[in-house]
Amino acid sequence: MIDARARSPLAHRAPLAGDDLRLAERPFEGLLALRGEADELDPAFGAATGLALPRACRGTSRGPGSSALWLAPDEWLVVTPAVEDAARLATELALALAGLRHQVVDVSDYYTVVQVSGRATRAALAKLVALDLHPRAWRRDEVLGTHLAKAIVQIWLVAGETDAGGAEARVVVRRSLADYVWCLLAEAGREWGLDPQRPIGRVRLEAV
Amino acid sequence: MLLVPCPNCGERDQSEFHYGGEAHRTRPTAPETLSDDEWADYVFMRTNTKGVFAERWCHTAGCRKWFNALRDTGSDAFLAVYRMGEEPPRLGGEEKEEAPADEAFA
Ligand SMILES: [Zn+2]
Repeated sequence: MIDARARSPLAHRAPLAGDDLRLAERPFEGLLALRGEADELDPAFGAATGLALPRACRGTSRGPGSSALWLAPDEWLVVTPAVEDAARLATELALALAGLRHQVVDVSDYYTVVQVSGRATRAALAKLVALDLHPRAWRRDEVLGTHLAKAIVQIWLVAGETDAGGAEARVVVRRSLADYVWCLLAEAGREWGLDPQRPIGRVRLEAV
Repeated sequence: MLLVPCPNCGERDQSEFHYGGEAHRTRPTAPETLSDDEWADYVFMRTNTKGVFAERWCHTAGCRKWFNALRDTGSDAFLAVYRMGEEPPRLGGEEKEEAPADEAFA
């Protein structure tokens, strides 16, 4: 169970929907940072999660529950849909990887995930990211670690234009930068009908 | 703006990187035995090469790994990248040898 007092980094923002673009937070996703040597960890990691460790930049491997994203040659982000799964998975991984040189840290609280979807997904993100996001250059299931404006993010294309629900990307961002990224994405989406958002700046959030 | 070739991620915008200065500067093993001049030389003095220069970069907004690069400081062209701890690769005969700037003042 999620602690009833838990408040996601973008709890003060309602989902936005425009003509070809939608913005929503995916609150309380489970996120684990895993570090170690890929060759050493892969068999035990695969046995515990059913996932292969992605070996190259942009690589991801997706399972029915959790997914693994490449962050660096010796670092991955394991994403599970619910934060309570992260705690369970962290325990399972600790058991499975015992004796191997590794590190598993539950970083669910450090980040949040912003979901960008709709036909204008690439076009809206491209206003804020320097990398080429054309379908030729950024394919489904690829994750890019880069800058989104001033924020360091991972952007992960979970569905392409030809998929049933249309294009969908997820932006993994530090919670302290979540509102900044949200407002910029809303601004980038104004031509597709998203409402402008006022940054909260230094205003302290009221407890709910 | 430079395009920096990260050995892990490929060519990325310079804004994703942190510059680490001259590569292959080894910390003296017994700094307590150095004179002030020798210590100052280690801490402050760099070769300021015009031409092929070995330097360190960190891909801070991407894979967050340090690596070495050979860059021509005259043209800003990246000639090679290689891992930390490796010797600089020998370049093909194309690049022109330039006299170290220091010698002009010797
Ligand atoms: Zn990199």
